[in-house]
Amino acid sequence: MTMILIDEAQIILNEAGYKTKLSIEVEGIVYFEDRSLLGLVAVYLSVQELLGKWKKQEAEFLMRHAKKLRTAPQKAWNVYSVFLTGEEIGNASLRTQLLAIDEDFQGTRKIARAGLISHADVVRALLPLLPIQNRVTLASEDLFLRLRDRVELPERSLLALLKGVDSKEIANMLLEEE
Amino acid sequence: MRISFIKASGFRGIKGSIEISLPLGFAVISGRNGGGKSTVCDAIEFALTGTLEKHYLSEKGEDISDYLWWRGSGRSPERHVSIGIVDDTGKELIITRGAEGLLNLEENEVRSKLCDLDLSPVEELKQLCRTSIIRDETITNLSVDLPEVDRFTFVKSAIGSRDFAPIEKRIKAVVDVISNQYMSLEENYREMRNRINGLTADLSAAKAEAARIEDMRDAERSLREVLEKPTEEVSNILVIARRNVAERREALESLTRLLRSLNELERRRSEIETAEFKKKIENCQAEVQEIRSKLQYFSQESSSLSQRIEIERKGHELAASILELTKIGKDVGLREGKCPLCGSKIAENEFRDHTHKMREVFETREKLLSQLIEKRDAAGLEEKRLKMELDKSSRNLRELLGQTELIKAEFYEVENEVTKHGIGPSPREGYSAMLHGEIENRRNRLLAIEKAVSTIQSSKVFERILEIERELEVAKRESVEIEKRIERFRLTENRASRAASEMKRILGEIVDERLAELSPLFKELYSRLRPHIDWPEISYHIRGDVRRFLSLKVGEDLNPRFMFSSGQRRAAGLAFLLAVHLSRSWCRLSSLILDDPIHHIDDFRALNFVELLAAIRRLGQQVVCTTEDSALADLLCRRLRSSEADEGCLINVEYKPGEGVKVASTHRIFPFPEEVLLSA
Repeated sequence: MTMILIDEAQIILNEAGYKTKLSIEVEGIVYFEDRSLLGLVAVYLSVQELLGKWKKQEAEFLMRHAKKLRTAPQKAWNVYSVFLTGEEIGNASLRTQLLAIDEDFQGTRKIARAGLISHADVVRALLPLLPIQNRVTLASEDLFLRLRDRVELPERSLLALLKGVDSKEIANMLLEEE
Repeated sequence: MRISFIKASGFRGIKGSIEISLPLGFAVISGRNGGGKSTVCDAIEFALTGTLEKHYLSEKGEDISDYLWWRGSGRSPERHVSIGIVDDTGKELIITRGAEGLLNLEENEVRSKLCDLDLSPVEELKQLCRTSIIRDETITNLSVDLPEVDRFTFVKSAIGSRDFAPIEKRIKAVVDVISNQYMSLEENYREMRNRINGLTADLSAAKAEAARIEDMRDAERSLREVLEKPTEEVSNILVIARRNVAERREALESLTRLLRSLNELERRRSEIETAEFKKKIENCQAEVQEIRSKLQYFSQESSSLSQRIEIERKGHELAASILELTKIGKDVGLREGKCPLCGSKIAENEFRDHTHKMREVFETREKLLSQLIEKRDAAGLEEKRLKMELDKSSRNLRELLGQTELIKAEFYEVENEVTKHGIGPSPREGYSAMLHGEIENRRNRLLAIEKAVSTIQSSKVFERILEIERELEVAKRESVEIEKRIERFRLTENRASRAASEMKRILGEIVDERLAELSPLFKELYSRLRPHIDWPEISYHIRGDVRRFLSLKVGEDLNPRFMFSSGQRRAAGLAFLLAVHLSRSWCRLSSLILDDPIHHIDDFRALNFVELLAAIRRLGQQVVCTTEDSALADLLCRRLRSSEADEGCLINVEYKPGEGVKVASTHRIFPFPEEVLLSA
């Protein structure tokens, strides 16, 4: 499960245009970076493990990459630490603790999510890092064709109606065609 | 298309002139309250629409139009606003508007450049501003706090491939036009029916009156009897009578001509039956007989004379020969006392007497022959004359004798013609008188009919009857015509009404489908902003047939308007407005302008919001965001992804007393190094 979740996260980040790299030092961590953001995704077997390790891993990450981050101090403000686990949250207390991680503004921007069992769950967890997922491309459809098939009007009158011809003129057309 | 610059002079809080160049990536406009951040957003809206919609209320007779231009101390030298809009090719459209309207372009030009007019809703530029410029004060008003009906209308017009209201309105107008004409025709029909009923009553009254008038009644009765039309309408009776009179008159003229012929024949017949005529025939016969006798006599005489002449001519020829011999003998004279011709002894004197006597005999014979010829020629002439006379007399006799037969034949012919007029065969006596009597009878009948017709025609009542009957006929024809038209209008009205109803349903379906397409985006944006911890998802429902409602729901059918705090409502509202903004297929302007959008929003949700804007930036949208919070401004500058192609900048504006809004500073936001963490 652990391996699958980390893979899933890496694939999603890659698809979103991030460069990623699996951590050599620590198992279950992948690093990512793009033009604006950078950070790590750490995956845990349980909520408890996540709650127990996230702070240490964030600190280790910052220490390990401090030199590099100092070369780009503005970009260094945009470091994300993402902590994920597939395990469901057992109780409200754990949930509160997990939420508190997100709202902890010290150090990096943190995202902590549990109960990730599907691709969609992982995408939802990584949303702050991802581009808009549900772009609406309202296709312009031919209103005339759609109406023609169902509205009992002669084509000439229907076209006139859609083109904004004066209603009296359309009424006369209909009467002529009757 | 994205906004490249904003220039304003004398507009709102700007006394002099300011010019802000906007990079195509993003611009964060920072400043304190009253520093002019909103004025920059207002300038964009004003340049596009000529007004500021957020200030729709008026007070004490004043409204926003009274406050569009600098009202502070001193005068502003100029009053106009310009914005530049560049397309993907770098071509720039400059829109300049003054107090009197657009200064360099036509409204239609702006509309067609910025909007796809085939798909856009009505008042496209206002709609564009409403969905591009998200203002602090309108976030909840236009979203969560908006009444459901208005929310539906707002979303429908903002995203709809086009606003269907005009189409629905037009088909309804078509139905109304037809219905009005239909009702008007029904009214005409009712009036016509009333008229027909009135005319029928008038006709009935006029007929009753006519029946009460003696002469008229007699005339009508007599006509009916004569014409054998007991049940025919009076007007028809008159038509038939006129035709009958003409036929009768023609027949009478024919009979009169026949009577004249008959009279002539009878006169001629009476002539040949007189003693005088018979005597004339006898005389003519006697004359013929006499001529024939004379002709026979002269014929015989002529023949007899011809025979005698023949005999005399032969004797004359002999006498002539003897005379010739005598002449020769005389010339020779006596030979020795002997006749030279016969040798007999004859004395000289005797010989002379003898020759003289021979001459006298010859001359006597010649004279007789001439007389005979003359007589015969005279007889021949008389014979010829008599023949001619006989021919003439014979012809006269034949003519006299043939007149009886001729009269008989002509009489038969006249009788035949008379029979054709329905008059029986001629009696032995008095045929002419009988025919004359019949003609008189017929003439009297004709006169009676003519008098009856004249009586009816000259009757005023009848004139009225005729007039009413004519009007009634016209009214009935018109009534039938109106009835046909009513039927046509009824069918057309039904058809148009069905079409209107079906069209309304289809257009509603299209809007619902569009809204359904919008749903995943709205849910995603809500999810990104995470307004409420217990309700990570939101949905909307559309209901209503006549009035359409768009309800927002969280959890188990809960209305966030009443569940959420003001900050949470704003966050949900932002998700809603940003989803609408990103769903406009008709709008070519890819600029999102946010005027201080995160009042009442905590830091955590503000961070979510900034991340959402960063995601929107990744779509290629230009983001212009004003904020009074300098930390937020910094955060925006770091997260909104500046790149070489789409750079960002931070602009600080401030208000200087007496001078108005000024641009205090502009900082370019340079792109970050691409690889920091993952660099080798």
